[in-house]
Amino acid sequence: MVEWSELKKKAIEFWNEYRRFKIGLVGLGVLIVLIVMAVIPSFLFPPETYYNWNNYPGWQLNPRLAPPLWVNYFSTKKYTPPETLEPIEYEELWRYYAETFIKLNNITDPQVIEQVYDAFEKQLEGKGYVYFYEYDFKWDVPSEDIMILVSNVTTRISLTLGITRPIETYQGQEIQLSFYPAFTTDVTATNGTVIIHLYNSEKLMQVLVKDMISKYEDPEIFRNATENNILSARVMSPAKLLFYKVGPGMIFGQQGTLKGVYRFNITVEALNGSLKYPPKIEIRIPGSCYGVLGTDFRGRDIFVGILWGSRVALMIGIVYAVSVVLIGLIYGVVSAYAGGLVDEIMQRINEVLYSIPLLPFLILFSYTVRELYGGLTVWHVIGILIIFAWTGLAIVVRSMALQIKEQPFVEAARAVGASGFRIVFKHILPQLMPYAFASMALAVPGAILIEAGLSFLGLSDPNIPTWGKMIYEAQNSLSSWWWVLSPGIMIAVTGMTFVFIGNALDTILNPKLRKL
Amino acid sequence: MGYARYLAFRAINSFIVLLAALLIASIAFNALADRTVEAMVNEKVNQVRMQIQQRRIEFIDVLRGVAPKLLEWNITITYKGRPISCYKFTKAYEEGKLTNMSKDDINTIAEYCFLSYVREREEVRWGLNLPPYLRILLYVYKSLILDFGEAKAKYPQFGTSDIRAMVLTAMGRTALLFTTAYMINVAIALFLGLQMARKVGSILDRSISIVAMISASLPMFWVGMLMIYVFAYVLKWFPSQAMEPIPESIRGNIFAELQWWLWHMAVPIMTIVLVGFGGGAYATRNLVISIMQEDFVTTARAKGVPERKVIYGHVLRAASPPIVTSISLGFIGTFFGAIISEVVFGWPGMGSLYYLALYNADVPVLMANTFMFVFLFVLVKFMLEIIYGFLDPRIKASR
Repeated sequence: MVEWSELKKKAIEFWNEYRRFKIGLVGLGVLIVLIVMAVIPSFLFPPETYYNWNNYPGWQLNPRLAPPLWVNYFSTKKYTPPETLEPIEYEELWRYYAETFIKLNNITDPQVIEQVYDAFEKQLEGKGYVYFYEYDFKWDVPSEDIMILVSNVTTRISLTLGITRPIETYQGQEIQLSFYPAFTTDVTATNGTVIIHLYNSEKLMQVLVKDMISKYEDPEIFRNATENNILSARVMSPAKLLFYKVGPGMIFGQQGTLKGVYRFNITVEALNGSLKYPPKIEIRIPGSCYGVLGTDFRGRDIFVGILWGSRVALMIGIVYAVSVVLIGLIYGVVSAYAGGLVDEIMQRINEVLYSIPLLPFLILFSYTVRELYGGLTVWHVIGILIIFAWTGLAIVVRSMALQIKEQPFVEAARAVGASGFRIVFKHILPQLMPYAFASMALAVPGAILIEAGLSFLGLSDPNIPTWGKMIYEAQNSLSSWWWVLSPGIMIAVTGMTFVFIGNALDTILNPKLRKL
Repeated sequence: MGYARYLAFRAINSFIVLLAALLIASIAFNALADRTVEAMVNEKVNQVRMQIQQRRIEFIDVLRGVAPKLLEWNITITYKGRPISCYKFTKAYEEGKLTNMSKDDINTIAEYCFLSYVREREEVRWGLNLPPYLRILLYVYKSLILDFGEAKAKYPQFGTSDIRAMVLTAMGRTALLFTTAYMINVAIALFLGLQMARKVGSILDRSISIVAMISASLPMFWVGMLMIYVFAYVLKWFPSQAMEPIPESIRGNIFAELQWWLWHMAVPIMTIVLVGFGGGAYATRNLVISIMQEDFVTTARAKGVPERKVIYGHVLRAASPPIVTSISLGFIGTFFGAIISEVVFGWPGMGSLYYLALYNADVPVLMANTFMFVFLFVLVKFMLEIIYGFLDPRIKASR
């Protein structure tokens, strides 16, 4: 029986030994970082981002295929960061109309002004609101999309967007472009948030073609573009065009972006009944760069995926390693201790299982489970993996146990009448524990790689983010380096961490290697 | 004598492994069979119906040709609420006793009968009438004789719908790619491993050891993607897809064709070697070092044998069997990642076939590919054992 104080002494001894291996310390440090990474997403992100990774509604607000925010520190072209514009002010519709009316007609008489106000109030009271926004744009790569987020709508409304661009010079003259109505749409009453995208709005495209492109674009380019139907929201985003400077080649952004303050106004009008409360209306500029690690082609935040993925990877790696090592350990020791025919049979079974290739069976059984149970979870994959992968260790453990079995202290235990169970679990197994720990560490990367490989074939839990799946999905977007690189680097780093730790343990516990 | 016995023992062992693997795979197939085989039988029945209608043959005529089977399988159908024995019906028709039935009735009954016969025949073929354990054994037998049937979906990269031909083609291509990569890998691993072992602790030794640790945890398909990006998209040296058909202009010109193949294999091979060579070199180094500590090496050195001769004559001779095994096992270990990277490279081998079969939910192809993979794996391991026995003099000397 190992005493507690002795165990503590041994642990301290071991730690002093372990400390001498720089590589092992590096591994341990990274492991701690990885564990933190696996734990924090629970506190940072809604759980839905995990179990509904593909279709979490929040992704809609993000730009697609956007590089990380920090590219702006390195790139000469500055990317637009995401921004949500709150109205700087809003007014009731009748007041706005009355003011406009007064301004347009140059009314100065206070009495008439009063009458105008009264008349408009009587007509339009509770009919709607006007919201004003300002957007200071100073970037080189504009956002692909502009969204209007509408919530708290109590009745069916019509929504009209007006846009005023900053002043710019065109052929020596100062011009200012203004579009009203740039875009209109109806919104039905809803409890949630309605997201209106402008990137695919043909209406906005037509307005831009009419008021901007046909006037300021080079006639030759313009004719070509109309003939080839390029000036359609299906081909290019009108929201992006909005930010380009006028001049020849403007539709391809050859003039660069127009920097300055863009003014938006949104008029909301009740189509039937009246609006008691102003709806909440925001303008979302998703931008062209996002977050710590950018986004993928569905606007999913890669950083979120990487963090959740580290949880999945660690879970798979550790559960797999512990189970495989435990099964292998017990199987090997029992086989060695039992000896004779039992040993022979157990070794035959082991050898056959050991010689069976892992990959086709993983694929086959993952597929079978998916077909028969209607879905595949990470636990199924781990389970199948364990069934086929425990054998290698059992062979080594058996040969080690055979040596231990012949040592005097086991003989002594047997002589004083210890049971087989006690000998195996109290005398032989503890001797093998160091080796078991090293094997556990070394088994982790394999499991992570295999899970990644299966994800690559589409055989993984379809709803949660895993690193392998992220690589798989990035396959056709190789130039999106932030998307391709991060999961791969994470797999490699995680694998290396465990290899480092395992090698350090191995060197401590296996004195023969230490001489080298 | 010792070698022959060793070989015989290994061969039997391999065969047992093969059988066990096939058995396990067949159990999985049996679990899937209810859905897939049923679907395959239905499809076959429809196909037969179409064929007969297209050829304008009367069902009653084909039915007469299979009369003995109708009796043997006791095929009955229900027509207008009455059970009808197909065999008796056929006999009655032949004897001209069916004058009181309309021609339409006769034809419809014949059609029903014949289609139930086809269904029965297909079910027997797939063993649906057998108890599960016999069915599993039937699948094992069928895979041993490579009878896999026809593929459900189309696989243009493999040029045929016969699954046997398809998996054999895929296996050949995978073998081509991996044998080439393996040779290069072994050469590099041996060379580097010996250099590392001769100067333990040198910069080369340390850097390759670190490369070995890093590459052990790199997902190969990911490295493949990066390699494609660099070599095919940025540098434009090699094609991004290995699956292009050979152009007509160089067909028949062996030299040009070989060049074409190498050009297409370059990125996959570079990737496999890049991921694999570190591990191989590291394993070689460790084995060589442990052999160099043996007494006979010290003796050889003491005798004044030149260092070069000690390394290549004594150490390498003793170390080669375990080196072969450990490099090969390491390489087989990377096979998993490599076969998946075929998808990335567009190399039309077994990995791509897996991917396509999973995509098409084509269970027979999936099964055939699994069987083939097991064959290949067991075969390669057996070959390694032959080589091992050949290299290790102790085996030859034993009796």
